[in-house]
Amino acid sequence: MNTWRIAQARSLGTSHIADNIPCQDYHLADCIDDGAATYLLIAVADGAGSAARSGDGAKKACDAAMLHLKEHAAELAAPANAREVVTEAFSAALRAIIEFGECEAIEIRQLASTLLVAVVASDFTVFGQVGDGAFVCDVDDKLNVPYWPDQIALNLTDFITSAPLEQILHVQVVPRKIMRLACMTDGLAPLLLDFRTKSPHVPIFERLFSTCQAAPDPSDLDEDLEVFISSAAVNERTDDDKTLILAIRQEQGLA
Amino acid sequence: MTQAPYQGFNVPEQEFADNPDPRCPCILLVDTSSSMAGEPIDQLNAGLQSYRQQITANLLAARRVEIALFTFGGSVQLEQQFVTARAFNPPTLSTNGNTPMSEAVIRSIKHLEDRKAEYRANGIAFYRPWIFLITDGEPTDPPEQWKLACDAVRLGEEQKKFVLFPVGTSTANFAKLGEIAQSVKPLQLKGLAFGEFFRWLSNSQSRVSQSQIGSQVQLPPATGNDGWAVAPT
Repeated sequence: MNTWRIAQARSLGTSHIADNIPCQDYHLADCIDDGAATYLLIAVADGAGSAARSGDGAKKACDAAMLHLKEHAAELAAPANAREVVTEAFSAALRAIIEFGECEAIEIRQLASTLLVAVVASDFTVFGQVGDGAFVCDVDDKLNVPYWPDQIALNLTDFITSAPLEQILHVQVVPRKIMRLACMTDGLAPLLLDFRTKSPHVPIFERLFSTCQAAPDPSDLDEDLEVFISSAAVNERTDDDKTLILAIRQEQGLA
Repeated sequence: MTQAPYQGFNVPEQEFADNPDPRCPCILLVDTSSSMAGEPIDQLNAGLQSYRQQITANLLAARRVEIALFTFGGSVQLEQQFVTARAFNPPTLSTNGNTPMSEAVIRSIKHLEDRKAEYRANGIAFYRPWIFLITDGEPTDPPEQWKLACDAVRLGEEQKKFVLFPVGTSTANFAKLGEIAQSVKPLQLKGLAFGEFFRWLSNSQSRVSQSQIGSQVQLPPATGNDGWAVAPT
């Protein structure tokens, strides 16, 4: 058996509470099994703070990307094909936003959102990303950030709606078995990443992953993670919306 | 070995990453010449104290806003080199002598460039710096010095290195302030409304410090019934 223990949560930023703006982050994480293999699928989006309906844009982007991945699950076995599916998932997300905007008579820029997508297979992972936010994964027992958006420290970002995707989409295949993976929106980046070295801040990730693994009942994890990312200690360090997904590969019954 | 029972996600303070915040630098150039004696300097000192309280009440602004304070009265003094707002402890200013405003402007631009070099060396992002020039009179240093100061401001603003905000009390020479002003026209303080001015500054900096670097931020109105300023008369 080869599956994943997942904790996922989002939390409203304190500046959004003050300005009466809804949470503009959205996230999905799911395990699928196509009979031959198990995949962990992730989609995370952060709606633009300056765009009125960007929370809807973030949700549409995640829903459409995830749907695309699931519909093409049969094509995920080979890294090159999986890379193609992830790239197409971004096009599907953009189409969904454009259609929603036309349907509801909302300007596209009011739905602006970042998007991060990952497909984690047994021996490789495909990461796709437009804008800030970050993935963290362990490769050969070392935690790293597969793609570092230089905009992350500057509070400046691309959105899937802001330029042709081929100019702003970064897709990367890590040809290794990944045991642990995290995904965050930029609201948590100052707490979880070291901007000077462009790397994960290892002590906090070791704490988060070991806590995730230690929970006696995995069904508590989402709620417990939400408590953490809504805590005073976190809100002292960021006033933005926050999303975090933690995933640990579980390999029981290997013998 | 027994493991501590599961209690959810508890992260000790020291395990958080500690990244430098982007900085929002501001230089206050304050006229402390002898004509500022009495009520004006008292109001200014009180304004500085309330400014400190207001800016530190906003936790993000307290970490991101950096303040330096120069006075020009008799001579130019760097009263406070750049510190983050939460470390800013304004001195009680006293008055003395003439008004070497030109030298104050030139030295402040140098101080700003030094600070920006430190930001760059440490990978710290920063917003467009602000320089506030506050006076009740006019420069008394030589005219060629004033021309150098005006040229330095024009060049600096053209290169988007900073924005200078000239502010005068009713007795200030607004024609002179108009010579050094570039993108922001000189404004006249209503009476001695230093308290209102510093409240506006604190609100403005709080807005900027939460904005995206490089974006346009709508500042609260300086003029109008609730403002601190009027157009020079």
